[in-house]
Amino acid sequence: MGRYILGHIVQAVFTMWIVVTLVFGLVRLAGSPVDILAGELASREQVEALKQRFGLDKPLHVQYGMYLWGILRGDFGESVITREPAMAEVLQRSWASVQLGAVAMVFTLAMALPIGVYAAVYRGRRLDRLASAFGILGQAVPPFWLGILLIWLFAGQLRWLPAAGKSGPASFVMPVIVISWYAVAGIMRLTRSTMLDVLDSEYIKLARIKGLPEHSVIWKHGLKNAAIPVITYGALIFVGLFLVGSVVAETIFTWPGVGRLIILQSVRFRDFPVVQAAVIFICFLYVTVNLFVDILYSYLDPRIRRA
Amino acid sequence: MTQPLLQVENLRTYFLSRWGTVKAVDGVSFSVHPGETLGLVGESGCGKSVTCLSILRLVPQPAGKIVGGRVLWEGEDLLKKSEVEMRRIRGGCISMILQDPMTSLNPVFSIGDQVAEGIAIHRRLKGKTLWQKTAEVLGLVRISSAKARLRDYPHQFSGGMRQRVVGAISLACEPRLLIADEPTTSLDVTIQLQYLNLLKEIQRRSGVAMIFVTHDFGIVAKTCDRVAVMYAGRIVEIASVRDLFSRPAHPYTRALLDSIPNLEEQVDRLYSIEGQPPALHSLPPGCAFAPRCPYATRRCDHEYPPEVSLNSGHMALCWRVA
Repeated sequence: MGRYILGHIVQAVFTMWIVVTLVFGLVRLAGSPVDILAGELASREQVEALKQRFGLDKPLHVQYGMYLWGILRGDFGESVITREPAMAEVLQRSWASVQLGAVAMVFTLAMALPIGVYAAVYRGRRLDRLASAFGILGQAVPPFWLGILLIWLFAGQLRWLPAAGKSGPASFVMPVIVISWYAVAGIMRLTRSTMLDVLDSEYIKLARIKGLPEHSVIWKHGLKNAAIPVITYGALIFVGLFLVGSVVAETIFTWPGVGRLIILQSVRFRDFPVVQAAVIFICFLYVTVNLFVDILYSYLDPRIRRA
Repeated sequence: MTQPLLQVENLRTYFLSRWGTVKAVDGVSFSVHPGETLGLVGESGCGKSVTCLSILRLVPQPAGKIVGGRVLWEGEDLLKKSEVEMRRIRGGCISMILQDPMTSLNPVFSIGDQVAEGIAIHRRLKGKTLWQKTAEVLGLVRISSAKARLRDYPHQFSGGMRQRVVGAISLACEPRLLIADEPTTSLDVTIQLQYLNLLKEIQRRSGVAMIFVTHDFGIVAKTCDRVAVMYAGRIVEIASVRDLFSRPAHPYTRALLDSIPNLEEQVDRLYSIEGQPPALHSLPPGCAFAPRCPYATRRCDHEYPPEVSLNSGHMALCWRVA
């Protein structure tokens, strides 16, 4: 078990190294930031001075070494606009995003798992058909359109909820719905179909033959088996939630999160250290979630533990 | 004779399908006495497994439905019991071994957990005593160093061992009737024999009655006291093993016995029954076997044959013996 976890941590570190290297390469492919910073009217001396400041006058491998060394010390450069450390800027803005993502995650699970399980248990009944209809809607309706519709209804017509910004708990309602909408539908459908397979299996039959009560048959013997594909898909979706959510929902609802920071400010003003820090941070989240999921697998499935 | 442990009377279990009502079990009656072994023989899809699942009221829902008959357990009708009462019966009084040991254990729970679960419910044991009893039960089915293997998972066991674990789960709470639904079909031939011997030995020690579902007459001869032959959802002949092998009355039984290859004879082709079993959603009005029966008359096609008692305990459904 310890070896399994250690192995996955080593893999995660390796993945992060690849990410960091890719980011290094991509930023350089996008052209020299100095041209943007200095502007067209800058003199040769000014350009040279800037190059020296960013270390761009040195050979590539030396730049790469300095870059890696910086990251290891937690130095991601500083924002071109605010002159603040880039990662500090990202972390400060990501708190609002993480809050939103966490609430959306809890909401998604609380909705999708029970509905999916009950839809499978009561297959073909009214609840199941209702859930199927919702599942199709959830995967067909684009989030940005849903967001605008919600604002029009709940903020415009009914005036129940604030249209934008982050204030009290009420301000979470619409962004969370927009972010979770797709995920609830997807996870619910997957939970339903895997549960159907599981409920049809021989070991469920044997569990009933033993005389186990139905709740134990479904929630213990059934769900633990159905959980593995659901978690795999769920983990992918959650990170997607964070990314899509932070870009689409934060833009629609002017949420002060990291998505809006990247799109609206950093990319538009070519604040490349902040873009770089944000991309690395999001990838870090992705890798961490995956590491967590791998460890969770080993708890759920003994066959993985030994592999 | 003593009072039967289980008495199935005119049991009918139907499945609703797109093609109509499938009469998987259509008026089955038989009884099992304490300590005896009843064989249930027939082709695939003749309703053997559905009969067994109907006794435990575990027919797949909502497609399957027990539409009539009685299942008397020590005189009480199981079909009238509440779900809570049924749960006490399942595993506690009547238990079942499923066909495929590779899929009938839950892959994500340890062997110990899966065996202990039933004991915890029916015997209300906890903690150390529960674990002790679990190891004991696994020892009963000859899992070596059972105590050390309690925390192992199904994938760490071989097929034969898994089927013994399934046996342990079923026998853990000392049921009085064990339904074995082709328990050896997916095992190696050598392991099959071992497993049958194990079941017989446990039966000798505990006196558990058995319903043994199989399509292997060799197993019937070795393990059963009486045999019921099923065809198209009905029992067409019931007899003691001796009577059935020496004086089969129903043409279907005879044909099945003729299909067993004989090592002493030299034949070019093995015997087989012509035709296909009928579709269970459109059974003929007369005898279901008539289309394949070499002795069929006009009457067989139109009228269902009566139950004919030949001698004590030997019954056949056929116009020919009527």
